[in-house]
Amino acid sequence: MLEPAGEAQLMRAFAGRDSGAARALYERYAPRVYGLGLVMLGDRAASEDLVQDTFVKLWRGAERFDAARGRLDAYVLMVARSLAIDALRRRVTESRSVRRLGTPSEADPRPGPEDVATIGDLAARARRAMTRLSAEQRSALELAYFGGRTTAEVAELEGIPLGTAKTRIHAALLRLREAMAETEEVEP
Amino acid sequence: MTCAEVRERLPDHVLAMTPETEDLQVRRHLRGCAACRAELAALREGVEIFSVAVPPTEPPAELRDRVLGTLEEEWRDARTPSAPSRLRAPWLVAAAATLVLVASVGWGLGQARRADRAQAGAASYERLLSTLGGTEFRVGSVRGVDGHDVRGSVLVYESVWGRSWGAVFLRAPETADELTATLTGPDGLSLPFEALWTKDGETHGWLVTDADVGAVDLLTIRDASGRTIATARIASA
Repeated sequence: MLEPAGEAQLMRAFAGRDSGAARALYERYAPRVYGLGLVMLGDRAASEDLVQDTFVKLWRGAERFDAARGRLDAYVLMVARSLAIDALRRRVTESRSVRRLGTPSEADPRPGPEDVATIGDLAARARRAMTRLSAEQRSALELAYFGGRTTAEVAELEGIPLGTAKTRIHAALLRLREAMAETEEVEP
Repeated sequence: MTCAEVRERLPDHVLAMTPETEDLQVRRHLRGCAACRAELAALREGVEIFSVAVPPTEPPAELRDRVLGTLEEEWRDARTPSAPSRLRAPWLVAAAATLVLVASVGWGLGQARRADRAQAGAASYERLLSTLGGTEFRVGSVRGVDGHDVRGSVLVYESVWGRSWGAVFLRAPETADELTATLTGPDGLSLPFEALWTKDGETHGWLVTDADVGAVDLLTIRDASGRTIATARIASA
């Protein structure tokens, strides 16, 4: 993983239209963005568009990236998620929830295990941290993050009071942070 | 907004799902509250962990060429080799913003003609100015009071360069008077527009100030005798 200074340098080079930097960013982040697209949008074509749109948007805002404010991977995924939410909102007839993501249709193929690339250490630890969430916390967070739902919408979809939805998401995020810190302590 | 109210909104804020007007208030509170910023940082860390937990999936090989080709196209279409960095100089941003304001007067008056769409017009203007370093835009619809036929829009915003701006576009066909416009807020804050220009019943003006316009919540339009003929509520920050 690049240090913040390296990430800033990479984005500066990208802003300066360095095709080497563009290739490096693509190699590093396209699988992450594509994976996010498959989860949020549910089909390959839309996920490919998401990758393209994300990289165009990243370039247009490359000079605004501030390594002091967060990691580049989180920034890239934030941009991608924002675009994916826009795409979801454009689907007027769709009223999907994350619960339905687990039942893909034939016309809307999901990636098989063979498609999944080698999982990095950070991602593996993050997924282990996810197991520390209760089912309710995870469901609320998935609806909010992947489904682009507000806490009010999460409350409605889950059939719970608004305050409960907020508490679940709030607690889930803090729990993830704690769990991640614990994995850091356990592993060298 | 109190700490409790802000913290209640932080889950939506950190997931970028807060409505813009509400988010302005949250951001304003966060700038002056270290405790809430610490809470936000913890939640943001949680979001980052959640986001990296998404399994990466290798996209089709041909997508690489498509994306890199699109970027090459994007770069070719950009007007100058250093276009993105040109807006970094504060003086240039200020000059560019001024140029845009001047050049957009006609545009703004057009919006004033369609005053029932003032909010949408100001929102378009907001998008235009956001490229010049503007931030925290707020808009309001101007409506006549006491039967005065006045309509239009007002836009106030702060910029990343520490200056605040305001712009007002009006249509007041029955008013030949020289008009004045003042932005006001709590605690006696009062920011008069330096001047308004009127021609054929259409009026425009703007102000540039070092004051924080974040607390401004009302625009008042007065005629030459000092009577209030129109007002606009601006979403409180």
